[in-house]
Amino acid sequence: MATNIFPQPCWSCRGPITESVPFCPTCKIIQPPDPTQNYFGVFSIDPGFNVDNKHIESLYRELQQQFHPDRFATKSPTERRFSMEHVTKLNEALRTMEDPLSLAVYLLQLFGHTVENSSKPPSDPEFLMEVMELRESLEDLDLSRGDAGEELDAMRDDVEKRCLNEISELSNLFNDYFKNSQDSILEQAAKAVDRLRYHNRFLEELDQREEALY
Amino acid sequence: MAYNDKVLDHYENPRNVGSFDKNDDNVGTGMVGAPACGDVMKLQIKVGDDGVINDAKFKTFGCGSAIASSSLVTEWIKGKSLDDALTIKNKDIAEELALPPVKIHCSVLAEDAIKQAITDYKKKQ
Repeated sequence: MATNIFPQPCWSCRGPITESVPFCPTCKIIQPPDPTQNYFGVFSIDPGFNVDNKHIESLYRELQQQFHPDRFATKSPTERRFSMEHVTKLNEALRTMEDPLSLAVYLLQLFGHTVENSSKPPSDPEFLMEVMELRESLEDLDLSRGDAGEELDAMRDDVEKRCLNEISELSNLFNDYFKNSQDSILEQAAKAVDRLRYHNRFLEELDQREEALY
Repeated sequence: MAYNDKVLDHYENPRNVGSFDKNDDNVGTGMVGAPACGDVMKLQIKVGDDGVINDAKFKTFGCGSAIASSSLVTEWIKGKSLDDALTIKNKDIAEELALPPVKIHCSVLAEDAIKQAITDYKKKQ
């Protein structure tokens, strides 16, 4: 985890800033985003996989208003830059929170488990065989058939269900990890992330087929 | 990014696409994947009584470089003994196809697929 950068003086009035705050407590001027603050910190919520999207969206709107560049249009270039930086980080935070795959990857990173480096043990061949069969049935589907659209829908339902299973598996694993921080749990989560990626890739492919249909 | 001619050739006219029965004792199957991009590759070998790979097939869902890498190795391993086939390295594949650095992982997949197919075959003997 990143180290604490506080206390430090306000860039404008040199007053003391003792924690991650958007505005200086002394002169009320906007502060730069705290680089050590993670996306959960941006929304002032506890780290976790089960985020309430409605809640996040309302927090996002509040913060968006607070930092909106329009409010800083007449301010100094430094303040305008800080407001842009806050909004950029806020948007990235929202995008990460709203997509279960991105959120899982982000949590793994936060816990020091980078997905790219650790997926060395090859994926389970049986699972890969399933992926292969799904891809084959998609490839073999004759799009000129009258019921091709229904076939595609059935495949989508099937793979979306698989995605939901992985997401609920991830939810359980991260809950376990918060109770008992074992690396083996993160490894299992990384595998679920991998499976989710294959399924997402399948759905992208399916979208392309569907476009060809209409 | 423009593909190299050899990659294009394998991509447009892939060699040895298809499947063998994976339950056949003379067949070894290698299943590998790249989670980062969702590519999957299946490579199968058919081994004769003399221990020589007399046929190979592949099926790959992925980018042009992944298809070309697997198509190329099916050509290379045919007629080779298992030990000789194991000497094929991803570097050889990447050089032959002039793969750019971002596509090296495709040749790694193909090398892993050969190894797995051979391991699978040996397990059945």
